[in-house]
Amino acid sequence: MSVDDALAALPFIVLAGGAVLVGALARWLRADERSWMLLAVVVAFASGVGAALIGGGADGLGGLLRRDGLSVFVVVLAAASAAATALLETAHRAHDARGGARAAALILLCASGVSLMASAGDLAVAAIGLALLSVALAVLARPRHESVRGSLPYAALRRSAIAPLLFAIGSALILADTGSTRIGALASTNTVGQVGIALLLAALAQTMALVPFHVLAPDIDAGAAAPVAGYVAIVGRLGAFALLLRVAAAVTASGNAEADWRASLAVLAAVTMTVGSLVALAAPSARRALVFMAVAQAGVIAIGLASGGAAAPASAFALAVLVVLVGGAFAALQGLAGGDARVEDLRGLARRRPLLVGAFGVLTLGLAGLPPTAGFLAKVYLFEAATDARLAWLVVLGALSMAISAVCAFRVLLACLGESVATVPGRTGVATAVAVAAAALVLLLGLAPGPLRDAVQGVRF
Amino acid sequence: MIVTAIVVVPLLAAFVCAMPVVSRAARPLSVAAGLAVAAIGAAALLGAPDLGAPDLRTSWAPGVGAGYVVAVDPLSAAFLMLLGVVFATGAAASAGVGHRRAYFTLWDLLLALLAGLFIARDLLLFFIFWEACLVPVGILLWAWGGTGRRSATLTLVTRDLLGSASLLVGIVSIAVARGTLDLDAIAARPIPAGVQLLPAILCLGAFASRLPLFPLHGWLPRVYVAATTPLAIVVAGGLATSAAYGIVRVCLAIFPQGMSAAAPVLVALAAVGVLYGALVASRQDDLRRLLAFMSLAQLNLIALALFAATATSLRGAVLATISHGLVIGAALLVAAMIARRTSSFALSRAGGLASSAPALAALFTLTTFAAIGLPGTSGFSGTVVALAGAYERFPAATAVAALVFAVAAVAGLGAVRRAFHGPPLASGAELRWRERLLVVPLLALVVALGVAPRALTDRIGDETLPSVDLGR
Amino acid sequence: MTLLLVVALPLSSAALLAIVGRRLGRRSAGAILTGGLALAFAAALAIGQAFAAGKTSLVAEVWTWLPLRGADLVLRIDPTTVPLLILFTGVATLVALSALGSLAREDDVARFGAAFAMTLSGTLLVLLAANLLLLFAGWEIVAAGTYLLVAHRRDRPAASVAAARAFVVARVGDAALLVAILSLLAQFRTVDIAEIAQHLTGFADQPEALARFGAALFVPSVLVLIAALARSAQVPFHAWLADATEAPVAATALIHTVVAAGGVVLLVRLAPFLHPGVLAAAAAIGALTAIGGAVVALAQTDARRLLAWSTASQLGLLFVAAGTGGAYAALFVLIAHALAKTTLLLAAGARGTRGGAVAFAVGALALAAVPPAAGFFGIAALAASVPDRPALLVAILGTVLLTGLYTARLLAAPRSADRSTTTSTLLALAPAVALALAALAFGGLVAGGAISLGVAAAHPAEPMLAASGAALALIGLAGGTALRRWPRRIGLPSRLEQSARSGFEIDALYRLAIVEPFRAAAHVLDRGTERVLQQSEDLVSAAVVGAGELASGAHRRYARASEAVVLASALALALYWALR
Repeated sequence: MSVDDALAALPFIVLAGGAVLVGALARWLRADERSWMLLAVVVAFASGVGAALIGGGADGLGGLLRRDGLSVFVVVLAAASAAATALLETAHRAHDARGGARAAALILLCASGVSLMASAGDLAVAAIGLALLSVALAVLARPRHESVRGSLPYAALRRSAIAPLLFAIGSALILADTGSTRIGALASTNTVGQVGIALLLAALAQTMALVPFHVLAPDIDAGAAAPVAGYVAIVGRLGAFALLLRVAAAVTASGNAEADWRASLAVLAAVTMTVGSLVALAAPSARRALVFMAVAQAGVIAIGLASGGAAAPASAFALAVLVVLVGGAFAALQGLAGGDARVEDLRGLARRRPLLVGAFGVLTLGLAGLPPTAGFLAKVYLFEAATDARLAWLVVLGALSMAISAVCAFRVLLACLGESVATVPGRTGVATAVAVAAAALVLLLGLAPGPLRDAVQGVRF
Repeated sequence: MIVTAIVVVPLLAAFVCAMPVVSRAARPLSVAAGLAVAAIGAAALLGAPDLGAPDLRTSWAPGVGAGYVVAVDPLSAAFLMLLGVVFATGAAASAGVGHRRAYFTLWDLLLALLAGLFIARDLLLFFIFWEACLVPVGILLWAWGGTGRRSATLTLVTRDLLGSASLLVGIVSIAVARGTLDLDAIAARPIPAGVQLLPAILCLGAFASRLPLFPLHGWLPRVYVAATTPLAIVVAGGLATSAAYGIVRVCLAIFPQGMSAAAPVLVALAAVGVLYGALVASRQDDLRRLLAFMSLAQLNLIALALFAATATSLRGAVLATISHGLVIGAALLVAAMIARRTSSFALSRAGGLASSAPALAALFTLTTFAAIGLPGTSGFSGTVVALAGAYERFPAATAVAALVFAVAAVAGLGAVRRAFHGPPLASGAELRWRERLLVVPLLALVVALGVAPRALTDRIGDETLPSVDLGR
Repeated sequence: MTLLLVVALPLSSAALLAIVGRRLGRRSAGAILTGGLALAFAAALAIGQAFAAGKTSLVAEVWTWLPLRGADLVLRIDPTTVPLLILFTGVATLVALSALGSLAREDDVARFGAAFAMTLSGTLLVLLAANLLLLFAGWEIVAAGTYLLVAHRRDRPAASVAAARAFVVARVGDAALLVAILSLLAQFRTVDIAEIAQHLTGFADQPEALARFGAALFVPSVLVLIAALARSAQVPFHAWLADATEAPVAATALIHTVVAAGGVVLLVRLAPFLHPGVLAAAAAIGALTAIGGAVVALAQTDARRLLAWSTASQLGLLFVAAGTGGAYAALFVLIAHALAKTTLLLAAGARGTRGGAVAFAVGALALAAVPPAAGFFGIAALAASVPDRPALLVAILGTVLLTGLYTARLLAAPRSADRSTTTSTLLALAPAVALALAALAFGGLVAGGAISLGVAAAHPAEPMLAASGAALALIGLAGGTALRRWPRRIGLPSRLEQSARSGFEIDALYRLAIVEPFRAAAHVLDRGTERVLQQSEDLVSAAVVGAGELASGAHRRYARASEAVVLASALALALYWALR
């Protein structure tokens, strides 16, 4: 095992090792939930910093693991959101010690799955990462009332198996067609290979929660507590985004399927934006509204994926912003209303928690792409790339659905005004801090996008 | 750097207003912020150095070619003056408002955003100010508004967002076509005439729905009725003005041929809108609705002049826009004073106020005269110059729109008659000094612009106006 | 400078009264009003003196105004307008003096004075403006001032209705005038009246160019005519003048003589570039109004309404003069009518006194064109100016006869027919007497050559025509006296008389043709279009939200079958890729 191999595998090893460590130690050590979460924070933080410091370089394990701008970018984002989620969980205290350890392990496991997907140079590695991610997410996201000790969430597991299954079948078909599972060598020559690519796309679309595959996305109907819900909404998209970019690069390189690939993604993007924003508008609960606004945003990012290689930095920019927006918005929502509050229940919060509502407002408006947040710039960059790629119709549709999304954001934000009737969760320190930090970051990036823009220039395929 | 101060000063005011300790000082501070904006605008109009040329050209959002470019030319300066005056008046009229800190923070934030809109010389920067305005407006309308505020906010926000979406698509298409969004750079390398129509219409979508051009005005009466008086003043003098400015600065400047091609249809719509507004106004019982439709008529007249786009009509449009802000602002204030005395905005419940409140009657009569364009008021100079300019290119539509002189008179004088004539009303107390101080400065400006409009229009040179005459 | 003062003095009186008037007492408000007007009159006299001494033109360039070519604040006066300037300022001064006497104690002198001075200054602007837009501004100021004057009695609902009606009719004319001006501006690139006239005379030797201009000038000429008809209460805009008698007496006097004459002033001033066909139409309409108005006046039972219709009729004669190019005759009749009518209106309130009764009688005779009053000379000049138009001549002479008839009825009217109460006999009486004297003496002075009207008569007066005019007037007077006495019917068939009394039902026609359609259109737009528009706004919102609900509902429905949905979608995707 050479140094390159070790460096390429390091983030995964740290994250997965951390997950195993937490899981194993919890058998032997008695510690409260907060300690486990802090341990997870440390592990995630370490892997993120490590990945960032290592940076790009030669591939490891004979090309099974890539180490380039894309993988670094996605791993850092995944590790950062895992760390932030675990940090929020310390304040949330929804679990007993046992549950806390399990949640911490699952959070790390998800991140490790994403790190595998992000650096996969081979469909098999990607499939493993996807499977890891899907299963861990399904367990993490299941409603709390189901998490009765000892009972396995069969239904959730069954659902989570679909995406890896589709991916595996697709990989197998491609293997049958081309004789290789290397992503770089992915080139369809006949119908079997084509169907394989289609199945890969279906699996990744499901992981990215693109409509109509979003129905199986773990975050849609999850009863998970707000911080985890935010994480669930983000982390799958990170892995899927990386893989989609890699597969797209291969498909584009092979030439003959590029038009179909882009058309499929364009249609998916169009449907996702439209349905996501419309459902968000009618959503009864604030959490659901946020989830579907995030779905719509994922659709906008899919515009970038459909626009070809030149749009990759723009998509990456949007993805990074989406992570901050969703994470921050869910943190704010947790501070505001705790669980699954209806939109009307937010009434009067603006007077009780002005700072938190302010941050929440900035984040939701950013999620709808309103200036001067970074969400707006992400939208503009993507639209520009799409116009350049002659997808003007998609831009029009995107602009319209973002307008509807903005109406939804206004609806949620304005619901917080008025005379106070809401009950406010007691301690909201950490949530407020995270939300305010996220809002500030989003505003800062909106006014000075240069640094992030430079950072994502390395994301190419 | 002094140009940036136009945005920074109100932003600072907003920040200070948000502090808990200065709650009492929030209103005077907001008035001062408005006056400061007006003062900088006046200084720029009078030709203070260092204000004309764009300053602080920084690339800000690379990739789409957007930069932070701000400058004040006479056109911006004229609108900034109006904006400052309107906001100062509105803030002064906001005595006794609830939740003072939040209110004035949002108020000054809105001022900062609108002021930024008038100085932005980069399309993306312009768009940011344009769309961000909606947030404070929406919150102010929703949280402080009266009856019907929900549907008003929803309608306003929805229409404006849809319009903004269309503008954004237009801006993105320019960015792709030109690689820069700096207005001066785009003007230096014009877009080919053949492909101007579509982006012009896309950009116009936003401006037409915020102005509003007939028949996109559905939100206007609702907002006038639901909003607090200060907010309604700001909507008339700030939001609508920003749309007129956008048409000049973006549509006409970048797409002269495209706008010219679309002009016949647009002018026809505007002419219909002028008469429509005046006719519908004559049937209103709610004074605010009446003013909303009078305002609609005037705004469509402005649109008519803008679409005709001759040098004269553009000057007239600028004049008429400023006049509209001042006159409708004054009229809304007086309407609120009437409503305070009759405890309703319904004209059918008013009447006979003239005998108990003669000064109120005089002010309202003067305001109405200004609104229907009597000589000596800015309503006359704006309307006549705008019509004179538009007549050069579109005589038929302009002649139809000129009928507004007769139709608006029916509506305006009907309001005067119903509110002030008839048997005296017991509760109608005479104006207090504070109330007079609010309205009189506005009316003084109205008269000044009516008598000496060239003090303003002569400072707006031909080179700042994207008129079709230049191309000839 | 003097020229500027003539306009500025009444205007500043108006502004002063409007702003600080209510703080002043009745007396000082009156002093400001009459002082301003009297000084303007003095300035006008000084100008007249200068012109009599041989000056031919006077220009006052005040300031720039609108950003349009020629649209500056410039006043210009030529010999034709000097007599009118003196007449308007003089009559207004006298009327204002009498107003101080006749306004009731509780009336708001300052408010009345502001509107009064404003109206006068507007008229002076119409008279003196060097460019069309300044003229238009004056035109509008007159309309607004008239509105304020008629609406002066705020407790009378009829007054405010009449005022709004007068203003709206005026505004229809204003809109027409504005479009005419815009059209002239577009053609000549200037609004300066002299420049436009010069431009046209430059083509005098090129018939083709003139013909082209003639065609282009047709529409603006028609519009100018409409404006003039509306202002001078000619058919079909004549109804507002009768309603405007709701104003205080002094205001009525000003409206009848100064305001309503504005239409004629407009026609005379713009005559150089009006289409000849339109001028002929003006004369025809004038003749129609002259005869019709006189018949309606004859059928009235209310003295003030009778006088209003009489004014319309007399202004019709002026239109005949202006339409046939008889500037001399137009000026003469205008002045004669103004003096006679003001005398009548002012003296009507003071008929209880001997002086008042005499002044009233003199005014009546002057109105009826009985020699040696000014009206007689005016009619003579007018009749002489239409030698080749027998129809017009018949109309003029017929009007003279009818005027005699209704003047006789007026003289027989009971004195209580007038509503106004006199508070100060001297103040009310002295102006009336002065005006009566002027009405008596003026005609003789002009005919004798002692006063010049600035223009020479185009046709020498024909003694035969003058004599027949005088004879007809006397016959009319005699006949009227012989008719059955006031206020009973004049003896026409009942239905016809009823119809004549209400202005030949043209009022109803007006309501049917304009007011009701306007109301209906506004109603339909408000209750129909606007409501539909608002509903469609809601519908759009509801549709968007509904689509969301639908998607949300579908989502919930498929929640149980989510795996099937995903598999089906994946299958569809695979099929697409396989079959492409």
